[in-house]
Amino acid sequence: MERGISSLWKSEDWWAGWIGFIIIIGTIIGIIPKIPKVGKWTGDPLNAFMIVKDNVVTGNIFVPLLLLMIFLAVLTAIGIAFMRTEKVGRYIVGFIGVFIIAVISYWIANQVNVKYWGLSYALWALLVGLLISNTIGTPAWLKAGSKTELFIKIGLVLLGAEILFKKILSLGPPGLMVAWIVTPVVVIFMYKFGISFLKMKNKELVIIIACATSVCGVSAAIAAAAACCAKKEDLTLAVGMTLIFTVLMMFFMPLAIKFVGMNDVLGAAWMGGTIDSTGAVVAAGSMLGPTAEKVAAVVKMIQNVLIGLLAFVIAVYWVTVVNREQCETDGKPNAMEIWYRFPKFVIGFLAASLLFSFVLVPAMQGNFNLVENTYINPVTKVLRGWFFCLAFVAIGLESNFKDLASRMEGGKPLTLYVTGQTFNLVLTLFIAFLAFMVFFPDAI
Amino acid sequence: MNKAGKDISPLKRWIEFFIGLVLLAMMVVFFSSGYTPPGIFGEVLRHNRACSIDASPLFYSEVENMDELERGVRELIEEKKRPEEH
Repeated sequence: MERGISSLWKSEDWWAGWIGFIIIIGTIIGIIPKIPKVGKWTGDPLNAFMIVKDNVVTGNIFVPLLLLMIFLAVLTAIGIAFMRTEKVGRYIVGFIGVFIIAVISYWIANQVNVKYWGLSYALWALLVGLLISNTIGTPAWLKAGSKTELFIKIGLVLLGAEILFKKILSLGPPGLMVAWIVTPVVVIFMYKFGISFLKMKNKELVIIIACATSVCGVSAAIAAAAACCAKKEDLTLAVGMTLIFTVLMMFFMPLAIKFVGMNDVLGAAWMGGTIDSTGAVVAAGSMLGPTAEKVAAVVKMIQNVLIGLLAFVIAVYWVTVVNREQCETDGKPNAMEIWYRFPKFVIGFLAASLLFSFVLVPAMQGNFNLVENTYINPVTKVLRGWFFCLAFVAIGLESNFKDLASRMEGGKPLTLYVTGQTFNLVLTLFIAFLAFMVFFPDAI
Repeated sequence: MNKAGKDISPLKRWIEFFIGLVLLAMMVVFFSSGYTPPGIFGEVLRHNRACSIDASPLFYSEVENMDELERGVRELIEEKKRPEEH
């Protein structure tokens, strides 16, 4: 661990912050143009790379994608050069390989029928990476470009820009009750259940599964994993479980709600608070009608905002409590020790969120949509997606099934997920009933 | 040598890779084919297709019509408040 002033240019955490803020500031002052993304396609796979305006193909994104690859390679290579974790030339060659796999993953995920199933780029990136690493083995040149932690941390700093605090008031007190009371209770319950009852030794895996279950699936799992410095295999396992259960819950929850004749708004709040990913929440909510779709999506959005706070709390808890237990050192670590160990990218994550929420939005007359449409949607959100996709490719390339199997601890992670999700379902339904039917029946 | 410490010939590893690749391709073809499970199991998929709902976003900001959904909730709240004010 780098200590002292040199950590500012030698540690990955700081570099994630620098690169994240170079992108954010570049976006605000307007020097970073709209970032290309792989498009949707139905029958013709090449349509994913075409620019279509008013149903007419006006060009393609091959050159913009090439420029994006060069931009990202150079930007991250600057950090690699300072950190000296890899030879820059080797890193760039490896990065090109990882980027190409990321493009393939996006291309598969953006097929419209695949989108209807709710199978995101994270799944395909992981699968392609796992296929390579567990058969022919990841070649050394490709491993050199697989900087998982750096990609995740830069992605998280950029994600901070998307977390606008005022959004938590969108649904008033009932929304806050469902999203902000249940979530911390479920995280604490699952953590205690995993450690004390299931006796799981891998505390990082427990907290990642707890956050993925109670907050917002994959995004929360990434944030929690980075905050507690978890192993890649822990994240792979948690993400795999959350992706499978999200699809199952999206399929069956609206049917169950309709079957028992539950109130639409109550059902929507229930699904918004429990189904892990936002896309699946919107799809499930839409099954109950337009009002339910809106309520479910907004409850999920309010819950999403918790991700920054949660990452901060986990980072502090891990530095002050868990790491101390694992090191078996006596006495409390002093303030400097806590500072050295603290994952600094979390500061970048929160700083980006505060900058956008309390500086940029007020500077644009409180117009959220303008901020989103000018800075977030065309640039930071797309780049964040690319960094997460690169990270999932890298995770797949560095994970192997034997390590994943060893983390199963006789099925304990699955037991933790199912028990936690069941508790989440019961508690969310109870609180949603109190919020929308008892305390604020006229809210919606 | 594989991760379990057993010697595996390069040929066998490439065969495993191609089998995996074929399985992955079959998975992609299956999900992109538009297949919908019969009966109630396919109800959500049919609805997603009919209404063009993208169920894949991981985070709220990735939902294409999130602005619209938020605005809709604000309008619903305002509508509820209106009769009380009069």
